[in-house]
Amino acid sequence: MALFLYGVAANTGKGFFTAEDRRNFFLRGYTGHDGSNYVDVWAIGANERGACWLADRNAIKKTESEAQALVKASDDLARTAWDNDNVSGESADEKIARIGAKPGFITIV
Amino acid sequence: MYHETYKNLRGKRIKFFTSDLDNTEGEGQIFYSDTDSEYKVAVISGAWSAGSNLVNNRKNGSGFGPSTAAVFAGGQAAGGGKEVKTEEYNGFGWTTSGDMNTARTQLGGITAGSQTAGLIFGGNVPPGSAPHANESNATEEYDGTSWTSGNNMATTVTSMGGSGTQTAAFSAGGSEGGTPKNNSQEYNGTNWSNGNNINTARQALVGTGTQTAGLAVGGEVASPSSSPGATEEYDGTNWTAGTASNTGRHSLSGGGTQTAGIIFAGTTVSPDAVRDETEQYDGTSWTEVADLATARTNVGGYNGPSSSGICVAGGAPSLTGATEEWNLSAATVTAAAWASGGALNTARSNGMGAGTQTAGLMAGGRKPAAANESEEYNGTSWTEGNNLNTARYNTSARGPQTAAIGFGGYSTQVEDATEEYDGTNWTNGGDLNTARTFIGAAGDSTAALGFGGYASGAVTNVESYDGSSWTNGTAIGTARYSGCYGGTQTAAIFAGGIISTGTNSVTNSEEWNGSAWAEGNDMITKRGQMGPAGNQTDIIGWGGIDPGGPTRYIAVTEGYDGTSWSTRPSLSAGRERNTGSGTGTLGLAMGGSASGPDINTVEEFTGDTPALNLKTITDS
Repeated sequence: MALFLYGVAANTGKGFFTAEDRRNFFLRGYTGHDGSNYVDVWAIGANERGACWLADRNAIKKTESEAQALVKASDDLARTAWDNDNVSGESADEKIARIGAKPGFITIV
Repeated sequence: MYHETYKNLRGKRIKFFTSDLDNTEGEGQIFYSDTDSEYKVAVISGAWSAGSNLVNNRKNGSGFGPSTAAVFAGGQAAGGGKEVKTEEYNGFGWTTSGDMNTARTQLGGITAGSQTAGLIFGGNVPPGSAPHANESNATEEYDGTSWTSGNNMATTVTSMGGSGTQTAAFSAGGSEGGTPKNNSQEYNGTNWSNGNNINTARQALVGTGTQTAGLAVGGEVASPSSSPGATEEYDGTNWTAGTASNTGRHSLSGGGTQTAGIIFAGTTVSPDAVRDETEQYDGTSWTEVADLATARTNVGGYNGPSSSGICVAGGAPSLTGATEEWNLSAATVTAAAWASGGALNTARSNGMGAGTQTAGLMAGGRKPAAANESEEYNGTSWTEGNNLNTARYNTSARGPQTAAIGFGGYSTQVEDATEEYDGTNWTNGGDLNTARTFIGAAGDSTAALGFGGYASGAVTNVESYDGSSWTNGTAIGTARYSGCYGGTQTAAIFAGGIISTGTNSVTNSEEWNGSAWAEGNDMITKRGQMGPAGNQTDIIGWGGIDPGGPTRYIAVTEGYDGTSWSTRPSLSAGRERNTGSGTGTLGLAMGGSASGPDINTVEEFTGDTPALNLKTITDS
């Protein structure tokens, strides 16, 4: 039995997931990119309440590998953006202190 | 009608309240709620509620102590490794403590022990990950900090049931070489000695009660393999068969006394199923009372009285660190959790956060250029306010929505500028003596404290603000930036943070009492770029990164109660460079990044919430 369900659904803010949802099933969000836009990717505990939550949010179902690919695409963009964010005269350490270390690759769940 | 009937029957009138009673003083009291136009009574019921997860997931560990001061030790990690790890629970979360001397799994413990006088014994020890690969009779005593080896058990067993105290414990049943045993032995604080055998040889049972009024329940018998749910009572000399539990099972846990016992979780043999049932024993028979939220087996669980306790870790069937708290009370507890909040109008990271969960403030930040936007939160949505005078990021802020202060940061250079917010406008204040970014912050616009930060490297500088100018003060002990911070100008805290660019973060926690910084107990997880909310005696820190570690974009939350850090429920998503505001029980996480672009998402933390278990009185 799969431990997680995967889907894409836009986080609409207040009420999108509640404290009760968090107590009822595992929920973890990631930033993904579908080639055109950034998307919200969700890994949800595979129980009845988790499945209903995904359905209620009209989530587009994804496989684990599809969800991972979306997150990888976002990681690639973040790494490129980091490479291009430079201030004249800034040392490598100062750059890291200013904007953080170069983003890595996220493995979902 | 009820008023007169009750007065006639009991000689007392029913009290009238404009709103519901809300604390346990209302237990058993019949009252009239004007809000709901109903007669109500607060009743006692038993229920499990979610607690915070263990730091290290595992099964087949053991422990002792009540639900507000419990210990969990040993067990088996993923891959079968035998653990030396010890963790303590304070009723809110887990924190790591001193390791056992010998790694072991399927060990015995004393459910009636305490956090400062614990005992574990026997089990399977390295080398070898297979069950029964290397069985041990070693004993260790715990004093609240560290483990000391004691004298060995009289007979080597694993997977036994044990209970009692550090100076008067017993072990019942168990396994040797995979064969269920009927062995029973006692510990007097120094030595073990064999006692009279239990009636039913079995393994993976649970023991509870004391050395002179004990219980042994459940377990697996060998031939044919079954779990009859056998109960035996111990009087300090002999074991006497009692009534079997309703759901016979092995690898269960439990606690309580011989006349008020409780069991939960485990595995039934036929069908082979992981269980969630909870049963209570009144000295004569077992009654099913409630279910765990997560069915599991090979759990660690232990109780003081049968009215409160915890179930922790186990296999469900995969390894879990989940904790559930049992409460038999007129009060129910809704477990802490993060929920989504209203999204910021401007997505950003490293902004200034201040205010409360229902009157929040977010200003500046990185989008990725320096932002000057300022927004106010009302608990539901964000409203654009007047902008900062200096657009910047990597800035710190504290204070309420109507008297906030933000200082330092990066615009096109490292900043010394201070700005004060009065609920409408940002006004320039006195400049910092030392320009820097990622400063720890405490207080408000009339009395603030700035500590640590980054200025061509992590610094120890501390400055205090009197509403118009900054004065240099006593330095912090460990130079660092982007830690978890909060409090007031005279009672501040600074925990975690980064000490060298891109490579090292720390867990150190320092507290300021208005005249000196003192080292406190460490955080559990090394990291910087956290979101903070709260004060010196009730603060939470979440998210962040450990630049030198393998995990980026941490979702973990920790809380500090003025003494120690322990786990809290995690964010929905790992995020770094976010900011926070609010309190340790009502926090607000704002913006940040998790790879990808800067984000506008907000999460709201609500701590454990007690409420009275009210029932409406009806005619039928």
